[in-house]
Amino acid sequence: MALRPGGRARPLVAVVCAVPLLGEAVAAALEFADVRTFAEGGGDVKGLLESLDPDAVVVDSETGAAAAEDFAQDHDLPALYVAMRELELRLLRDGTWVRVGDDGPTPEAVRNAVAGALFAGGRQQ
Amino acid sequence: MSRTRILVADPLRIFRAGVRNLLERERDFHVVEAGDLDEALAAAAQHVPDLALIALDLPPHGGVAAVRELAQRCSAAAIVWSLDPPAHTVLAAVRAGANGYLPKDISPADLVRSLRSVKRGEAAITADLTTALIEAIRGLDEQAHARGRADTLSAREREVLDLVARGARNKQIAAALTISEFTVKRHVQNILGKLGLRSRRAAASLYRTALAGEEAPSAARG
Repeated sequence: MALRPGGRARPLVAVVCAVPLLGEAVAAALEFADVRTFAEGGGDVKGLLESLDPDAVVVDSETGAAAAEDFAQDHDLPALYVAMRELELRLLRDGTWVRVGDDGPTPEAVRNAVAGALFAGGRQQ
Repeated sequence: MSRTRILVADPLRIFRAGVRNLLERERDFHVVEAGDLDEALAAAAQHVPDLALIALDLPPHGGVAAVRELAQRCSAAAIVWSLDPPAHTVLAAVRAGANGYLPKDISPADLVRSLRSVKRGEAAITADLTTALIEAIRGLDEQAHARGRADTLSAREREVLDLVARGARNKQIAAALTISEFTVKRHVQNILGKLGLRSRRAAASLYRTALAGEEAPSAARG
């Protein structure tokens, strides 16, 4: 299934994480996608995303969320923020991070949120 | 080759999933998960783990309490981990019996290396947490020193100092202890003399240091 004209058969999801083990979990949860995990500590997250050109972004920190928000809004892409300290999943909708799901950051909730945003026409307007 | 049995006790399923995915790729680990203390104890009884990776915030009473409980039920080497561990919790975990303390933002490779080290009988602690541990031990020394000095005070003087540390003024102390303000002032002078200090504030600070870790009086309270 091509998400973009002449594009990839599987969506490319960029996971930029301050906590690498979270990247492990997210990568496993998104078995339907090609997942590329990067450490947030490398800096210039927005530049990384621009170069990678993913179909969706997952982050796990406020810094990552700020960069993802800029990129996602510029490119009309789904962005998910795994807020571990607050035990929440937040999806970027119309420029605002909105809490999604009731069970907090579980692997299934991450999968559902990203899949829903990618495949259910959930791209930002 | 027998696999190392590891109990991963963390309230966050996504963390447990991340550890499981990583360790199952390594092939020399068998992972058992638990979301709280009861599950951890049940898993320890059933699977007899070699290692236990315990979250500092494991419900219901935290990871340090869980380390103590597990130590009574099994011989697993316990490692506590958390996102931003305060220095005193590193020491508390070690004193409870933990073989290490790791930050949750550790790299996958370092986590695997640390777990294998603990399996070999080594301790697992990163350089920055070693610093925190050293600082906590120094704090213990300061506390012991402060307690030694506070022990030179009489029972009444400790009562007065306790109220001083809570921010009470002489008039309030006098009313609380049913003594005259003159007597309070005398007690305060004696306290300062015995402690070798020049001010109520310094005496209050020493008293709080002596009580650190117990229910120390708050300066804001009257």
